[in-house]
Amino acid sequence: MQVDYTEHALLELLYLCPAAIVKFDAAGAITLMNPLGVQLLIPLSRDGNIDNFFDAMGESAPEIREMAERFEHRVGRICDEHRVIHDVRSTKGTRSVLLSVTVQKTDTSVFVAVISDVTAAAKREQLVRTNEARLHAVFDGVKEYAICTVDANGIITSRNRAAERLEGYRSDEILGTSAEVLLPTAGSGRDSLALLLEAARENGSHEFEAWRVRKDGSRFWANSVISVLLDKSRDTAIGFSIFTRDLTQRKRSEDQLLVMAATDPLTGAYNRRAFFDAAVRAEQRWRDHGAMATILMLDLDHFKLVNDTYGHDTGDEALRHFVAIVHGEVRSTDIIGRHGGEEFLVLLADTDELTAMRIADRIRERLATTPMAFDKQALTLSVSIGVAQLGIAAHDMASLIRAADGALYQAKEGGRNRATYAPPVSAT
Amino acid sequence: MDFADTNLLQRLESTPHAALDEEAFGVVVMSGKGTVEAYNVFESGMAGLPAERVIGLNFFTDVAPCTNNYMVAGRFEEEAELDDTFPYVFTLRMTPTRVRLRLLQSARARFSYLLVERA
Repeated sequence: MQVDYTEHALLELLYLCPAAIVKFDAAGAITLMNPLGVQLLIPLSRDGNIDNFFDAMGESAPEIREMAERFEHRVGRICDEHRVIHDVRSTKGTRSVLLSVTVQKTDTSVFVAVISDVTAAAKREQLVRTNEARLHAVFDGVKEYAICTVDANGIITSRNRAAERLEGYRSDEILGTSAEVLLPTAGSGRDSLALLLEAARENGSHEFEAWRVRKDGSRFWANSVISVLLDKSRDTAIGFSIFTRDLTQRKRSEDQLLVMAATDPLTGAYNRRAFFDAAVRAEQRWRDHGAMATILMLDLDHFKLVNDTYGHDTGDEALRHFVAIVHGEVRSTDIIGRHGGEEFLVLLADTDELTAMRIADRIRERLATTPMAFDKQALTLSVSIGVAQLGIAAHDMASLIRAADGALYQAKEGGRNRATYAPPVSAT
Repeated sequence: MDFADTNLLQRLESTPHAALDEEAFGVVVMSGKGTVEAYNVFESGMAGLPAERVIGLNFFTDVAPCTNNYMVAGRFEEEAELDDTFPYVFTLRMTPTRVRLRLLQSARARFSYLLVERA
């Protein structure tokens, strides 16, 4: 095999590489980039320039800069297939692009990022997920199944040792009693069991995942498959077999991963993609049921000045302080998302713009009367807010967010520390 | 020719492709969905690609993949009448290089044009 090390061959390799490769320094200044890097990153730039990697990621994923700055080793992985969503505007409308970003630190001030557009792959993955829970069986590496059989009425007729370990009942305690005791509580036990057995009878088998209860009252998350056992003529159900796997660990990890994937590590607010998902659901509820929704877009006033005067650590603390205050003034059903370096969005469900304005004013007041303490000093922050109601300022979420941005701009222009409504537009 | 000339499209249409080598900015002449018909010396010098290598290839996917997005390729695809100039970045020898692009296209013209000026 001939190995071609000429410079031309190396350049061609980078040129043809089907992933974007970008090399930058600790400040984010880009030194090398292949053409795919331009193709994917330039839509994120405001002015057709890509000088700085962190600036390019700044609106869609400000957390990448923070992860790099916090990283203490000389060499190592900053982020791995970190998902970044951004909106692409063309004459045909707006659509969302999902990028996968992996950043490796290779020396003291040397970072290499590899970026791929995974929008299509993400759509395919969703199809696979919604289809088959059984795929999990392959990846879970679960070692044992709890197996029991019940008769046509759900009375337990046999159990294996794994079932004893999993469910906490010895077999002699539970044989001859109804399997409903293994399903969670509150009187619905009998109905639930009957429905599950009926589903299995109709379809031959039925799979379900749910919280289950042990003898000692503790819960575990389990996946069970109920299969019908037919008599010799294969037309009457004489009983059912139930195979159960304990997936508590996987569920905890999944829930943890879901939270980690959805939130911004600095402030705990939802990241752009998670907020966008919630916004799309709210838009659907508005279309289907007329449920009201109003967006607040909030931007801390003079934030760059705070960073420059007091340093980035204080700037970070200001963001946390701010988000905590917003949390205190909104309901648990409202969603706070981070939209950029110092910009945040709040999705207020079932709320009109008048109520939203009252909430915005409360946030401003609370911020003004709760200075942030740091380093023996106290700093009072203020915020400018744009208020936009779905159905009034716009008729889809992407336009609504832009309308809120416009109203925010008006608030800034009008002197800051205020909230402004986005003007109404006619239905398109 | 002047990069910013308002009648540039007409001038380009009436210039034989070989004469484009005299221009002080890069010219890519395309037909159909981006097939390279001509590629002048300025552009090939900047990109390090001889014209023979690129004629007949699709510019956006095979010659300059950095332009294969909604900002450049997408504009040619979606806008029948197109005349826009804006800053962009090319990666000459993997070094990000600032350029200005001018996109020219019209239903009345035989070809579409991408012009590249070093910023």
